[in-house]
Order: sequence, then structure tokens, then C-alpha cells
Amino acid sequence: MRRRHHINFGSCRPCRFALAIGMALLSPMAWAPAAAAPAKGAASAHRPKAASFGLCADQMLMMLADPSQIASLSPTARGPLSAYAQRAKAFPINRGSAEEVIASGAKLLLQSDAVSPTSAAALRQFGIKTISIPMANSWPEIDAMVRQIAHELGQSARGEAVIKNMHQRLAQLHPTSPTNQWPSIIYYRPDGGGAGAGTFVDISLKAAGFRNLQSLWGPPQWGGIPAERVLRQPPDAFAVSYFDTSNNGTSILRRNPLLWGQARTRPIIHVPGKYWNCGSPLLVDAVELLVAERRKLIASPTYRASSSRASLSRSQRPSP
Amino acid sequence: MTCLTLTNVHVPIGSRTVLRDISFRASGGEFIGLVGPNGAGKSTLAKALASLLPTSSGSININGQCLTQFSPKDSAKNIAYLAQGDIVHWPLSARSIVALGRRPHIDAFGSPSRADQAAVDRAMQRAFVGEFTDRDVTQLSGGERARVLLARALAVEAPIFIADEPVGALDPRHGLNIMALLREEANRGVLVITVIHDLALATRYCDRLIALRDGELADDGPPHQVLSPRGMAAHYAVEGHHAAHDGQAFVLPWRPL
Amino acid sequence: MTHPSHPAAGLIRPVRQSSLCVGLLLLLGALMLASLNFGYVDIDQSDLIRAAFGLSDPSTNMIVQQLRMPRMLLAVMVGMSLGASGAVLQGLLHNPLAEPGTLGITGAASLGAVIAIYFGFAATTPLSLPLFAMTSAGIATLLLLFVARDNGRTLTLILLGVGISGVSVALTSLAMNLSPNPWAVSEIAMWLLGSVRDRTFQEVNLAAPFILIGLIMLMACAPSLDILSLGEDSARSLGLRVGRLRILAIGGTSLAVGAGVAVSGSVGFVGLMMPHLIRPLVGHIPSRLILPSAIGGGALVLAADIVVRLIAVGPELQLGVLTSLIGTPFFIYLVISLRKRMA
Repeated sequence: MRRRHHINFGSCRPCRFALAIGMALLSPMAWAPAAAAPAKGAASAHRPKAASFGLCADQMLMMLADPSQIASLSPTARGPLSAYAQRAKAFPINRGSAEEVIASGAKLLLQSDAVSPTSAAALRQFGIKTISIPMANSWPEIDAMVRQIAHELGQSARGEAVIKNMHQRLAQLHPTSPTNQWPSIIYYRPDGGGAGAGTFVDISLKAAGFRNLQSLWGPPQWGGIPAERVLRQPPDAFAVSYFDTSNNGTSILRRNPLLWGQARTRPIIHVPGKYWNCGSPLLVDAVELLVAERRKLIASPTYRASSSRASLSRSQRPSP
Repeated sequence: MTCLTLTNVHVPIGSRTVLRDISFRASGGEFIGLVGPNGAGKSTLAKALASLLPTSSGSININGQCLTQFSPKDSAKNIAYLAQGDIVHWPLSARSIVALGRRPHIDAFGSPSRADQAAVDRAMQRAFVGEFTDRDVTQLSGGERARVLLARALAVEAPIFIADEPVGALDPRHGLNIMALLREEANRGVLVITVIHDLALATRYCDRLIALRDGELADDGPPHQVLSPRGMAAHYAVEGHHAAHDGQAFVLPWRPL
Repeated sequence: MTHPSHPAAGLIRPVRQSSLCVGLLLLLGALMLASLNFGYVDIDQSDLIRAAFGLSDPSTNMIVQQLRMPRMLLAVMVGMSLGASGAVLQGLLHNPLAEPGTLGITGAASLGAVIAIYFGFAATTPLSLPLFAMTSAGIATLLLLFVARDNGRTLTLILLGVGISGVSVALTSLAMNLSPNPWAVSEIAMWLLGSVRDRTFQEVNLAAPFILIGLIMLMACAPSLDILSLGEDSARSLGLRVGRLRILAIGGTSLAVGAGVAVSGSVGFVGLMMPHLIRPLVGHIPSRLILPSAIGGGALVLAADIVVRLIAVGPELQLGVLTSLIGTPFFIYLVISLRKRMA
């Protein structure tokens, strides 16, 4: 069963980390062109005013639109999972109803996560264009998604800038070592699900130079690796996420004593949920964090010991 | 004068034929008791007469017209049926229960006419339940509720009155009252047919008894004939005590044979 | 022998049915006007009146005429079908706990709707949504009557309802699992809780004809239900066509509840509460219960829908959550008071 990858929202939390790492690099993508934007309320026909329902839609709207184009955002935009939680404070918040969108004069609705399908359907009937943010689970899909949304917002140039910037940063981050020397990793969400092939988490892990065991072993999509497999072939590291909205991000590992036996002796990388709440250019922040963690991991003595043991055992095995 | 004719009536329940080859004639003014041991088919016959059960062969005619040709409403107007027990599912007032007896005479969404109201009053008077008019029937005693339900059946003012064990669960006083009431109905020209287990009441009040045994008509005649010592032995396998009081004969089941 | 009577039987004097209906209609009318007032955008009174006649600015007109009005109408229609079918089912089954929700009819209708939505039938043929919901509601009702015929005891029926609900939930979960839509789980979960938010005349038009026919069929049950309170044999001896009554009751319930669920999800316990509140006012006469229960049901759902809009914090509370919050204690109270009476 596929799972929603970003479900929780709650009280707002300052995202200093995001600002610290991301703002300098993000600024050419999102803020610099906004300075040249027309005055507030002057959203023109080819740059329509837009509202958003759902976190992914909120982020894309803030990323691509001029501030004057933003009619309202959903409450999740200010929540702890939002990459732009601070920035969202400047904009009105909607409660996901059609009335608010109509009254705000928005001509476009971006929606994600199917938060209010009926409201979106109602708005379509009233001539308000409704765009569902497509699920993007590969870099080309993310490019296409950004292009489409930027086009709808009349911000194609900014869209292209965002895409270009994303690929430049990814290229810089791309590990130089061969794939078989990458450390292996298993990702768990607090609910026990993971991320296999065909997920944006998988592409982020790969972009950072990790071998995602779930994409090799299955299951694909958002299921999780059964504990049995983990005991048989423990990874070099575990990744967990959503500890910022869950009581305990490592809870899935702690709940199962056998898993915890494996996990406590290995590095556990905590990725803030706001870095990968959906397949968007913001994933680069997650990749950046993962690359930093990977460097630390490779430098650690335990990893070097275990990897040499592993290569030793591999070399001792008779080759087919 | 109402005339009821049964000719070779067979009544199935499911795949089993419960009544076989029942034939008799009855006319208005008669008070007929259906007697016989448990499982003989008395209640089944009562239901078949009220057209609540279909016959598989044979015919039931009222005044020469076959019962199956009656619409539900016509059959309801001609045959009043008093079911066994005293079920009332909601705490309705006594008068609204009795008024249900006029339903066959009223259009589906019509309201009772003055004549209907008069019939309800008459029925309540006859069954001595006038005092309960606004009382919740579920708060009445069993005997009182039985009288209200009897009044409901009387309110139909049908020429044929079928009752399934109307005195089954009543104390002697209420039992006597109800039998007297049914007797009075018969005297008025109504054909009254009642399933009855109390043989003393049956011999005292009924003109005629029809005995059923294993789904067949075993005997049909005046009470002293049907419940003669031989009849008591044949129908119930008991010895009866035959006696008379106030010049009226009666029989009491005395000991099993 | 069961004599489930209202706890307040005898204490409350019956009132005339016509004056009761007029009173309830006035209440409903007031709530309808009030409901236009509440939403997510503040619209002042004079603007509201102008917008109702299309004389305000286009966006206000649209909000009032094409969002608040259909929402109001749907709340009323859904409430009416629940109230009426509750009254009819209680009369038909002689069971004071009967209502579309407790008997699993709502759950079955939801299953039908879920199948229609998540396998794409509803997208290609909008009419398939109410049709699927009504069909599965009909199947559940048929099953109930089939069992109730031989054994209409309160407990048996409620347990059967639990069974039907359980099967519906299981199959709904299966449909969610098999659905090609990745958001199906959260979408269905929210939808099942019931809401009339942001519905338009498209939904009203889809449901209204069926709800109307269903309500007419339910009303047509009225005279038969009275004689049915004497038990089936006595009722038939008074000319009741049992088959016809069953068709009217099953058909009416399936159409009204199914079409309502198709556009609003499941709104629980309205069919339980309304007949109970009305019953002592009409002297417990089943036929006089249906119309007031329908009007009262409309008023109750509309009032609940106003309340969920008034709670202006966070995401909107689902309508069905609110009615269940009120209805569940009511249900438990009824079970306890019935048990006391039967003991």
C-alpha cells in the first residue's frame, strides 16, 4: 500500500536550519526575482493570483509565484513540516474551503495531497483552474512538475532558474566513488514504512551516494523492509525522518528490540521531515544533509572496520 | 346471511401440508369452536379462514365467492381476525388501537368518518374498554389489553369473526367475559369461529365444535357430540367429566387415558 | 412480548400533527436562513440578501448562491432522508434502535459510493455514484428484512447491523487498498466521516431526484405502519399488503439514504435521535412520526452543519463526527433504558 509521505502538521517551528543552509542557495531561485515583481494586488492575467491546498502545493506556490500572486496558503504551510514555515507567515491562511478561494479573487488553485477534493471539484465548476501537483518521484518528473506549475503561474523563467539551480547543486553533491563502494542504508518512517524504488526519498538517498537497500530488495514504493531482512544483512546506516512531528523518530526501531539491536550500533541519520515532504526541488536540501552525514559516516572508525570486514568476507566467498 | 363454505381445503406451510381435506359449511349466527390437541392445525385453519395463509387446493367461499378473489381490503372488511397473544409494539392509546379496526373501511390516506368513530365507540363499549380511551395499552393488564384488542377486531364490524385462542392466557373472569361477548356477536348474526382449549367454556358457549386431529377434520357437530366420552378419548386421549350447572352441560378434562 | 415505550411515555402530551409540523418547519426555515449566514468569508446581512438574489458582486453571489445554498439544501435533504427512514425502519421492525446507521445501511451505501469513486466509475458517469450507493444500501436492507422476518428481536437486528457494517468497512478498506489513487486512504477516511462542505448544485441535482422519490416512498409507508404495530398477522387481516410495504420501505430507504450518502458521506444517528424525540409528541403513532421526523432530521443536520462552521479553529470538523458525538450517548441511553424495561 502506498502511503502519504507527508501527513502531519502542527504548530509552527522556526526553521533556522533551513534558513542557514538553504537560503543563500535558494535565494536566486525564489526571492531574487520576487524583488522585481509588480506591486501587490497587480497580479495580471498571465500571472494569475493563486491559492493552495496542501503542503506541497503551498511550497511550490511560495517557491515559484510572486508574493502578490499568493492569495492564500493552507495551514500546513506554517507547520513544522513546511520548508517555508517562516515565509508563510506573510500570507493569509485558508481553511481549505471554496468560499475563501472565491472571495480572495484567486483564478488558480494548486492542490496536493488531496486535502479537499470536493472543494477543488467545486472550484472547477466556478471557472477557477485547479491544478493538482503531480507526484514527482524522479528528477525528470520534478523538472516537469516545476515547469508545469511555473507555466500555470506565468513564471516560466523562474521555473527554469529553479530547475537549473537544482541540477547544478545536485551535480556538485554527486559522489565520485563507484556505486558499489557507497554505504548501504535503510530508511524507516515512524509508522514502519520505508521508501523503495519509485520514491523521491530513494532518489535523494542515491543522489547523496547511499545504496538504498530497499530499492534493491523491495518492496517498491512506501512499504517497509521486514525486520527479518535487516537482521540478515544489516545496513551501514539507518535513516529516519519525521521525528520533528512524531513523538520519536526512531520509534519504529525502538519498538522492535531486534531492530534496535542492529540500529543502536549503527549511525542513525535524522532527516527533518520538511526536507522531503514531497518530490520537489527542495529535496536538494535533504541531499545536502545526507552528503554531510555520509562524509561523517565514512570517516568514522567503526564504519571503516565494518566495511573492511565486509570486503574481507566478500573476497573470501567463492566467486561464482 | 353470511355463508362460509370450505371444500377439500389443503393448507401447506412450507413443504408440509398442515391441513388436509377440510370441508364444512357455516353460516352467520353460529358460534363455532375449533378444538383438538396441540399441533392439530387449529391456528392454521383460523389463519387460512382469514386468508392469511394460501390454500394449495380446495376452496374457501364466502357467499359463493372464492376467498382468493377478494382483494386484501375486501377480505379485511368481511373477516375480522383476532390474533393469538396481545402484542402491541408501541405504547399507543387504547382508542387509537381500536380505531385501527376501521382501516379496511378508510382510504389509505383518508381519516375516519363520523360513522367510523361511532363504530369505534360501539366496539369499545361492547368490550368494556370505554374507560381506557386515552390509556397507554402497554400499561394495561394482560386481560385489559386483550379486551382492547378484541374491541379492535369488533370495530371491523365484519360478518365473520375469527379468533385464535382469545381466552388462552386470561384469568377465569376475563375468559368468561370474552366468551360472553363473542356469544353476543353470534347472536347478532355474526359467524364467530374461535380456536379454544378451554373445553368447559367451549361446551358452554359454542353452538358447534369442529375437532381437528393431525391436520384432518375429525369431528364436526354440537359440543355434546364432539366432546362425548368417546370424542374426548379420540381427540384428546383424556377421560372427561361431563356435568351440568344451571341447566347448561359442560365437560372438564379429568384424567389422561 | 416487547413493549418498548419511550421513557417519557405518558408524561408528554401529544400535540396535533399539523401544528407540530408547522412548528418544525418554522424552525427548519429559520435554520436555513441562518445557515446562509455562516461560512468562511464574512458577508454582512444586506450583502447576503442581495447576493441571494444575485445582486451583489460576482464572487459574493457565487459564494451565497452556488456554495452556501447547495450546502444548505443538501444538509436538509440528507437530514430529511435520515429522519424519515429512521422513523419507517423503527416502525417496520418494531425496533426503537433501528436506523440506517445502526442497521449498517449507511455503511453499505458508503461501500457502494467508495467503489464508484475509487474505481473511476463516478468520474466517467456521475450518476453511477448514487446508483452504486443506492444499490448496496438496497442489498443491505433486503438482507436485514430477510432476517428480521423470522427473528425481529432488537438484539438480533442490531448485531446483524454490526455485521453488515463490519463487512462494509472491510470491503471499503479493500477498495482503498486496491485503489490506483495514492491519496485514497485519507480521502476515503475523511469522506466516510460525512460532510456537506463545498458541495454545489451538481451534487444537489445528482441526489435530489432520488431523495425526493425515496421520501415519497417512505411517506407512503405511513398508514401501513400503524396497523403493523399489531403484529404482521393482525395487520394483514386488516388489509395490509406486506410485500408492498416492504418494497416501499426498502426502496425508500435505499433511495433516500443511498443518494444522501453518495454526496455527503455517512452522517450517523440522526435517524435514531429524531424519531425518538418526536415520538411522544405524536402519541407514539408510527404514521404520524414520519413527516415530523423528516423535517426534524433536516433541522438537526442543518444545525449540526452550522455548528461545524462556527467552530472556527483548525480544519473543519466533519459533520458526521458531530452527529455521532451527540448520537452515541443517546444510543447508549436508549439501550440502557430498553434493557431496564425488558428485564
